Amino acid sequence: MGADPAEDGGGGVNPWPYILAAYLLAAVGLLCYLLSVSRRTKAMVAQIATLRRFSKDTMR
Amino acid sequence: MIGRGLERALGILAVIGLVTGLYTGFLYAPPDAVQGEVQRIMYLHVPLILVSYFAFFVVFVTSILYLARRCERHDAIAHSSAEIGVLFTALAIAAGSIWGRPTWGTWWTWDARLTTTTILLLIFIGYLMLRALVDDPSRGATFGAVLGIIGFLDVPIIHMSVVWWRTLHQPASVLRPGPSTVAPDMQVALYTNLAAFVLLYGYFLVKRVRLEKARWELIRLRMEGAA
Repeated sequence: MGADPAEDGGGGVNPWPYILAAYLLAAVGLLCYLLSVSRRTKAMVAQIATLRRFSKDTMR
Repeated sequence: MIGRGLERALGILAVIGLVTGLYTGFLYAPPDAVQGEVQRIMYLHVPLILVSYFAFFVVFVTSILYLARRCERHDAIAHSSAEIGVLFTALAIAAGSIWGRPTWGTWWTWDARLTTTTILLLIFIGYLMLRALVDDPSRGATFGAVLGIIGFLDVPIIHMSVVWWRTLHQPASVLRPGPSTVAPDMQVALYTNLAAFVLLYGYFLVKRVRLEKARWELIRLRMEGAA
């Protein structure tokens, strides 16, 4: 009757959708964070460059 | 340049670690005798939560150092580590919830450990909101340091929650006195993934601190411009 407890967690439930969901969610979350940090850094560096250029121009 | 080299080395090592972790978690470690295949989620859930504890410990230490020395670098590390800790805690709670559905029969229960971990997440979401709301960077850093120190005090409560209260969550199997209750093959998978997530934390921290330093630089330039 049903799958082996060692395969299904003992509840007759297919565990693989849960396993894949957990790992995919973590992968997406970590990648999104990495992208967010990279984008924010790029934007910040661009603003710093603009301000430096602006202050140089006003010094002249 | 050393920062860039370190960042690249940590990134490469983290990717190697994560690939090795996936191999050990899915192919090397056997399925659990009681829980079956679904226990493989623990190779994700446990390292994520342990590294988040470490991230909040870093917030705790660097916040004390900031209050003592008023050094921007300590605040940059504290702020960055808090953000990464929030990410890792949120993912650990989500992974635990997904594991709980086929194992406990529920996505969520107000168990002592789950509740105290959620409180930790909310405290540090509050920390990030506070940092975003205060305009004056040195005042924001001071308020953040105080909240970071108080917030970390929840971590030992989370750890002891399974001892102090009768909970559905199982007792500690890694950070515990005495020999480990984890089978040797499973320990290999667990510790490989733990090492991979420590490296990933280091990589994220170096990247995020660079962003924080750029933010301080931008604030300084704006203040110079306004003066």
